[in-house]
Amino acid sequence: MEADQIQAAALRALPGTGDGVCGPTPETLLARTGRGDTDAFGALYDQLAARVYGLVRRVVRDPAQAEEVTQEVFVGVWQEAPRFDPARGSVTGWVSTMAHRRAVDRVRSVEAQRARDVRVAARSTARPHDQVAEQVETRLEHERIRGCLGDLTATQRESITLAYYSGYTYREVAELLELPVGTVKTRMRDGLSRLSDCMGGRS
Amino acid sequence: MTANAHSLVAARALDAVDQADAALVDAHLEQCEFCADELVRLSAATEHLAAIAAEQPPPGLRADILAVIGMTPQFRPRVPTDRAAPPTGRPDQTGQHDGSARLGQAGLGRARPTPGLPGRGRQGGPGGRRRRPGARHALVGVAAAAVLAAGAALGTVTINQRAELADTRAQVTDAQALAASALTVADSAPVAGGGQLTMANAGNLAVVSARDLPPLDAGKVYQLWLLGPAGARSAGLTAGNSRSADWVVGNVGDAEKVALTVEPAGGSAQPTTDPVGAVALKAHQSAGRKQG
Ligand SMILES: [Zn+2]
Repeated sequence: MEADQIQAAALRALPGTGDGVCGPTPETLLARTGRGDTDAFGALYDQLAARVYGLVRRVVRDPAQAEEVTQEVFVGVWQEAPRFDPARGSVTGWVSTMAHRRAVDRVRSVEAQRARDVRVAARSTARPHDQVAEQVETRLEHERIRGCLGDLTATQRESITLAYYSGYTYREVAELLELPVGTVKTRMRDGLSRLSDCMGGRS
Repeated sequence: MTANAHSLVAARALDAVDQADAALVDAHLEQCEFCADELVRLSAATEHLAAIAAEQPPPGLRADILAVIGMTPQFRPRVPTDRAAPPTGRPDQTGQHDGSARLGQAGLGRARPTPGLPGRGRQGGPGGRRRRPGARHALVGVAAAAVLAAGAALGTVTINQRAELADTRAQVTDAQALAASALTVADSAPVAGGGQLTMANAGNLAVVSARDLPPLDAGKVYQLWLLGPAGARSAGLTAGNSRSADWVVGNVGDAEKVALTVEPAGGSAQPTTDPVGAVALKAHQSAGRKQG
């Protein structure tokens, strides 16, 4: 093997250089997926699976159910790919929204069988970040997001995390936090708004 | 209780609304440009929340999903309409993607209502959520529903009879092999007392979907059978008191039809009651016959 080939191979083997940054974007991969390209779908899965699974698992908690919902999401992505309109928003945003809604639907569908425990919910949302193997650039970005989240008032943060990570409706959040419904709606709005400003509108 | 839609945009961005409120907000978004823009802005913030939850999925999931999409047809591209329209257009009735991610509208993200989960699950995570047994098998059911495409609702996946994981994988492999030869909806038949049994089959594989079955007394389940010259072979159970199910049935062999009976919970080795519904397998395969 020539030296430059070895070097190239070594570079490819380095974490963080092989995917996401230099590879095809989710937009490209989804467009190819929409034409029935299963390899592109596989590559899209590789880029988005951690995001989808992590979010779903955060909401539904149970790993087996998280797998099921994750599969539903990706099968949906596959089916819907030919109809995706890139003018309407990012692929990552689309998939994340789909994942979150399905996770929330799942969690609410088992609602009747589950006693909601305020303390458990609070503990789970306050849980430290999982030990995820993150790439450096991702880690920095995530630190920034967590920093912004930490800058919110406690009520803003709790309202947002109980809703987003635990799947509670704003009315349930109001009950859990013993606040008027109107207050919770305002906290959600102000909190998301501040988070958005703090991140400089990046997404 | 009716909330003011204008005040619910942030809750909508967080999916922190019930279905009635969601409909209210979504209707409002079509008329209020301010709120539509606001939703786009706030949804960007929720994407950050999604990002920091990232966690690697179990390694086996990728292969499972690729197997399932191998047998799941894609929707046809939409006929292009006015792409220049502002992102306030409503999703069409098929619930397809229509900017729903940014708009927070229903779209694909809104899964169909899930019927009550089977009572067989054991208590799961810290929230006491139930874990459904046979998860992998149920995953195949997602594909089954998709393949049937006979008006059966995708997403109302219930649990099949407990099957070995290896068995499930073998079925998926069958399915992949058959993906080229289109699964066609063979037949559909009403179930006595209500509901519908629908089947698609190709080669050695059948995909059977039961919907809206009559409720059963406690301690009873529906059981699916393959009926052939060699007698009856169990092909699956409904879970708990579930009234719908999707089954991927491999190794169809020389079976002539699938039939549904009512059996005691846990199922029977052989049918103990008369079938409440049956569908004939039309395509008999001469080669690759495997008796399971
Ligand atoms: Zn408005």
